[in-house]
Amino acid sequence: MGIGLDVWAAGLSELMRPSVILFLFLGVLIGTMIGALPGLSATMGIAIMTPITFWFDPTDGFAMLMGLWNAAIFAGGITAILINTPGTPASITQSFDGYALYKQGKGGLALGINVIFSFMGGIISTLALILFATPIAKFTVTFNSAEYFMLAAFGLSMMVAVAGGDVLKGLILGLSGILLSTIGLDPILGVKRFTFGNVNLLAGVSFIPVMIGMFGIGEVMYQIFTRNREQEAKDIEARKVNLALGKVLPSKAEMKSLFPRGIVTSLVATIIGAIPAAGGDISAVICWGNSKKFSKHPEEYGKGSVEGLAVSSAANNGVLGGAMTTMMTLGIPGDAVTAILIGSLTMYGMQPGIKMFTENAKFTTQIMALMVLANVAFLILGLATAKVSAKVLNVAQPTVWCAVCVLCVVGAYALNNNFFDVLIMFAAAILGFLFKVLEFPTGPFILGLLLGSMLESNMRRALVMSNGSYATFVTRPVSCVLLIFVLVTFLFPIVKSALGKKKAK
Amino acid sequence: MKKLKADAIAGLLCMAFGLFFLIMTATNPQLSFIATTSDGVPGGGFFPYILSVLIIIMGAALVVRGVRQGEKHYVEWTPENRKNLKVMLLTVAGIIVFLAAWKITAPYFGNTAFMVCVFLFEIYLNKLFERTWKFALIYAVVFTAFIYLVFNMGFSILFNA
Repeated sequence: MGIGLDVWAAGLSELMRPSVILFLFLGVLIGTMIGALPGLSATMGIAIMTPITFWFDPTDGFAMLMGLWNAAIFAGGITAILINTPGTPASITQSFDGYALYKQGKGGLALGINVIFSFMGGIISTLALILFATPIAKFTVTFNSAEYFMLAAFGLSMMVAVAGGDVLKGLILGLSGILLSTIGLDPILGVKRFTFGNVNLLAGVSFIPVMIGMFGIGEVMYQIFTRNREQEAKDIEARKVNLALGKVLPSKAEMKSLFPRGIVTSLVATIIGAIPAAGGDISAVICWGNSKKFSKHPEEYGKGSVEGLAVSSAANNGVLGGAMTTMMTLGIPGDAVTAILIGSLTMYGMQPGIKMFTENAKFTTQIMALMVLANVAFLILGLATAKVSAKVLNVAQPTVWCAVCVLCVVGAYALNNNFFDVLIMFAAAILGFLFKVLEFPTGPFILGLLLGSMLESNMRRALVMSNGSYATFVTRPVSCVLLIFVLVTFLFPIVKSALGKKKAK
Repeated sequence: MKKLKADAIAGLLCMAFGLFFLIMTATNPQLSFIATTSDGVPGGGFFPYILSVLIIIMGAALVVRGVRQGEKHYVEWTPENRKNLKVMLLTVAGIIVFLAAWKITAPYFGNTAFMVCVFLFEIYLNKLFERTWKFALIYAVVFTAFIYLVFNMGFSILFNA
């Protein structure tokens, strides 16, 4: 098994179609706008655009999604640099140094560094995806239901542990997500569960409308609820300042000094991205903090360090390839966007995991190549438009809210031409809003809903094969190792808290 | 400024959610804990039983924690927040009316009903967000035209609900 050169050649030749390039650049353009507008996240953009792409050829659709995703993460840095407000959570550390550079009259250089090192992070992590995805997929050939059950459990445990916030609330929502995933036909016996006589529920709760609701209208509701007019006025004033941007491209000497750190950061970010639930925000904070520790000029970090900005830029785009590796080889989403991409692949009739490298190998090569092309596209567009990108910031939030509300309805309906999906989307929006207000982390819920079916069907299948013996989960080596990981992940916060209390005494 | 033991309330809601699914599982004879087909193998009710019981237990833990930690602020009730809440509720009400109007009128007027609903909904939202009539009208016309051209003409999607 493995992806041969002939498959790569066939896949790449299809990407040379003008429509693919057109949709890729369109995706990059939309992604840049979404990333640069505070309040719009890459997840919201992907959630709204995914149903629309189902009306395209799959390659065109994925070209748009890959372009949008990669560009939105890079563009989050534009607002971080120009108005000290991260466009996406992953750009948090870019505001530390980027805004200081802008105030020093080096805004152009900061924008240029953002584009170049986001590109570096994206390309290196995509190369890692291309190099390691096939060996990992090969390894999973030996997996059976016991391993897949443990993989799903590991993904969920990581989400609860890493997603941040409250572990108890994370657990409740993770379990609630799994419980909601049991709605529909029982995967083993075909018994109807919690369908209340509604045929729309026989196939279960549609995942993509839930994502559209939570990250679309749900997010808009939360933004309206927490609107701060005073801060908005300050932001408008900040936009009016329009300091000189200066040169965009860094000098040769600057590039030479930043290059090694950019490479190391990209590799670390790729590994962080491969961990389920650890997204760009976590990667950026870890990489920026560690880079400061090992820097020759740690005192400059946070005060306009070019090195700090380069590290932050490479760190947030560097997670994407890692997240895609976990998603494509194991079927476990690395973050919310890859969770939607799993839903998207399922709608196309593909199943992430080993089958992506056997039955759908050509499409897999196209996804990998599209990741590379998306990075090249935003590098070109980003450098060419660096000085005009500030104009995007002039769109007021209510203008965006009005569009998002209707686009969510249209997107949810367009999935299956079904009004029921719109109702699911709206219910998820209300839930998403309540989760945010009551400080429940949404990540575990999404992962529970997505992985619930994988968790249940594989566990029960494993027990059928072992005649009801639970020993099958510990006697199989990989399953046993994953079980240990799950236990460690769950027990770590408890042990840490107990040790903290002991120290405090 | 209103204070409430919000974690306790959230815990109670979780318990109610778990209890609902537990009752639904227990009252459905097809959802057995152990499958009737082969000994020791879980049935269709295995996961729902375990999950709903775990949610009830954890919800109870959240209630206890909420009561022990006392009053907790989720929201500072400033005059601005009260205004925000009103706008947010009016947005939700607007969406409900929009969806209901679309569902009711679609059988008679088909796709046109949806486009009219979108147009009116956009005017409503823009006015709610304190935009001028001129802006609201231009926005609604441009946005409705965009939806029509992209989804109706481009993707041939008919919003017949």
